Amino acid sequence: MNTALELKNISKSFQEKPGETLVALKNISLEIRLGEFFIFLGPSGAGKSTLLRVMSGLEKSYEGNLSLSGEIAKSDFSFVFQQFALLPWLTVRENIGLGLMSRNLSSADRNKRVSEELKLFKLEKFSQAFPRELSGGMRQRVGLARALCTNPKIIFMDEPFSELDSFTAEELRQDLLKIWNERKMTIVMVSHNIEEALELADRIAVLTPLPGRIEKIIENSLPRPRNKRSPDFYRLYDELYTLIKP
Amino acid sequence: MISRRTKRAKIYQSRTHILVTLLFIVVPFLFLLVFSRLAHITTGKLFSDLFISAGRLAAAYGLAAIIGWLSAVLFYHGKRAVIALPIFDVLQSFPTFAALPMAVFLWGHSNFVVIFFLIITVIWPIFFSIISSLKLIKRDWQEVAEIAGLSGFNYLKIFLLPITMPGLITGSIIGLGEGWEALVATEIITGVKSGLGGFFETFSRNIPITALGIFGFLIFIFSVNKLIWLPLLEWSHHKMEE
Repeated sequence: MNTALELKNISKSFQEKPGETLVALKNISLEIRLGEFFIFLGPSGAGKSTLLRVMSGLEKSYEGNLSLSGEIAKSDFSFVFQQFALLPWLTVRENIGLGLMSRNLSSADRNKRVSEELKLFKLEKFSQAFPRELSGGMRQRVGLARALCTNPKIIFMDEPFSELDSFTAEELRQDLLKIWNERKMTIVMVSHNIEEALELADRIAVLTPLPGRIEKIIENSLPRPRNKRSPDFYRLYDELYTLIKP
Repeated sequence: MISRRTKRAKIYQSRTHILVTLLFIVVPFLFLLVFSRLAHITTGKLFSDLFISAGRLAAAYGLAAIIGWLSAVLFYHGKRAVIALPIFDVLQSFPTFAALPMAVFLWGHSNFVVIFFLIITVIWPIFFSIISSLKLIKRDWQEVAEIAGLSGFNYLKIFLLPITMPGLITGSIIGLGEGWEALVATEIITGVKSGLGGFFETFSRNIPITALGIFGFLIFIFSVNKLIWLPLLEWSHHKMEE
């Protein structure tokens, strides 16, 4: 399988106070494959979100080398935020179409693309609503629709379901898997939920904290759709739990 | 699911509001008519003084809003902010009226001097209010704009203008409040013969007319605030509600 993104010896430190440096990431090296669903799993403070921000280009100061596959440009990136990050002064339709504003598209094409995402995420009735009028689940639907509207080749997701109730989160995970199967984009996600990681990911990198480093990368070859009550699911769950527990 | 718990800006949406609005337009107008009779001046002269002063303030406000907005956007963060903000803080404390006689000496009794001094009075509340709006930008919002690739005119229209709008409106209300006060004083000190400053100087020995004039002035400012600025303030804050 071709590589989408390659990290070599990525390290990142923060200056907490003068003379005090916090090493958030230490010598992270790995390859993300084209079209795979990759999850960084770890406890709080393991540097998962920092690593995601480095990979997505939002964090610009770091040590090491990050290289992209020739067929992917920065404009092919998209990002789903933990707390939705919808712009409150824009309607649902405007928020979803935000990434298309900088593309060379006619307004008819833009509207068509946005309408498709509205339909896909069952948001048509709320297209003129403002984010403040939506529930958390609906807001994250808008966040996902916004990320997908530009047809990205890589989507970075920072704990996208952690702010939602378990039923809504499960529903959105299923929607995401369906879309990922159809569109075949690469997804790099951060999670602290072992079950979620096993349900979604092809590979899971376990990060340990202070400094954040990769403890192990686990291939998750459980057949899809995944049965959360199968012995293999439990075996992998236990393996991950043992790696993560303090 | 959608919840309509948020309060809408209801001004102008009912018959009562339209009546109140009309009242705010009619009362100052009637007051000025009666007042001109009492002061034995022509109504035309009174209205022309008012409009000349309002015109000077509007010109100064327009320029102050543009310069204040641009400066705030340029200097609100990073190394530029570290250097510039303390300088702006000192500049805003500068006693402008101290320099007014010198400005009159250099440039004469002109509209330019009045407008220039009004700009340096009105600009600071606008500048610092916009700075405060910009400082409150969430990192997530900034990153959304970055990921979306917003730049140039799109960044200005979709991102910067809406974010700075509450600061611009709050700063405008404070700045114009100070501006009205500075306007009359500047017109009197510079000795321009037109405008409200000229009017109050003419009637400086007539206490009832001066008192009534100040009262009418307050009604006018109150009406402008009630009709324009307060609905705008409510609208801009409502837009930013999450």
